[in-house]
Amino acid sequence: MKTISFFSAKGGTGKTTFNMLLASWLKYEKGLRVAVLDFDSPEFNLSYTRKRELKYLKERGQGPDEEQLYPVLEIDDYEGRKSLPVIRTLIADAAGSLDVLVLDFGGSFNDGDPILDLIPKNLIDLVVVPLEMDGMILSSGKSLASVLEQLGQKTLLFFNKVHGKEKPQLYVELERWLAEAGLTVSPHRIKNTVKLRRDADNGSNFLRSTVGFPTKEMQEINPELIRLFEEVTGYGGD
Amino acid sequence: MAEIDIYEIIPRVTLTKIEVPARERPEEDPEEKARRKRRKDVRKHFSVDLDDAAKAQEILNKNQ
Repeated sequence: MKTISFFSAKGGTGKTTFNMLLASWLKYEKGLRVAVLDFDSPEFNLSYTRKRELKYLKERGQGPDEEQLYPVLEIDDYEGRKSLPVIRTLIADAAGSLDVLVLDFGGSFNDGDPILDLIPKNLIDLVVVPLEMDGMILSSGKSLASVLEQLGQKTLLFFNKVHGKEKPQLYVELERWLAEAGLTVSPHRIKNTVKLRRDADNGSNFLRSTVGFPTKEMQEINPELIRLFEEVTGYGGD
Repeated sequence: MAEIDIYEIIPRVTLTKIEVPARERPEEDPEEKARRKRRKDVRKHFSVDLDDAAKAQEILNKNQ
């Protein structure tokens, strides 16, 4: 089993969107056994999206068979010392019955946050850190990934919300700047598209969903997203 | 002019030193100790270096 998390210490970088899309791609496109642990208390946005989507679909008589969906577990009242043994057991138990476990954490990186309890126990295979085209955000992502690596956590960075018309030299120089800290960046850059952020509230647009994955639309809008997922999971093309 | 004894107006206050006993510290739980060290490590390392951020911004400005 692989345990993967898109994570950053800053809000609004797409953590939950990427974790949701990754879990949905693995389950509905690749047919793998997937579960999500939602640590983002108290909002539980990923779990909330699942509930909202089911409600929306049921109201229209299109309710999917819930057994065909991947489970999303809310990890509530997290207090490291008390819950950590439970989480560790849960992850160990899941190892035999899952291919991939996706972890969605809240956007903070302080003592007592679940990610900082799981990392030293080697419970996460890969933490994927989004970077945006802003000096402060780039530097914050670099600093976060450096700390994660110092704690022994494998990381991968990627450029998110790019417009796709940047000069190639930009990436050469940014990659060099990241390499100063010994960090690796994915060659797959994700375009900025509001469509990724749409969900059931917009009606029929289900690009960001826990109940399906729009492979055809994604191939047209953001094909690099699928390449990035292939890279982080090791589940390549057919 | 008659002299005014300031201490007739303002009551004398005697400051007494209060001994505060040192707080008893129970023996530290090893897991708690590890958490404290991790917090220290994180605080030590995880901060945005403004010079580094300026360097990144310079790369962005130059290439966009």
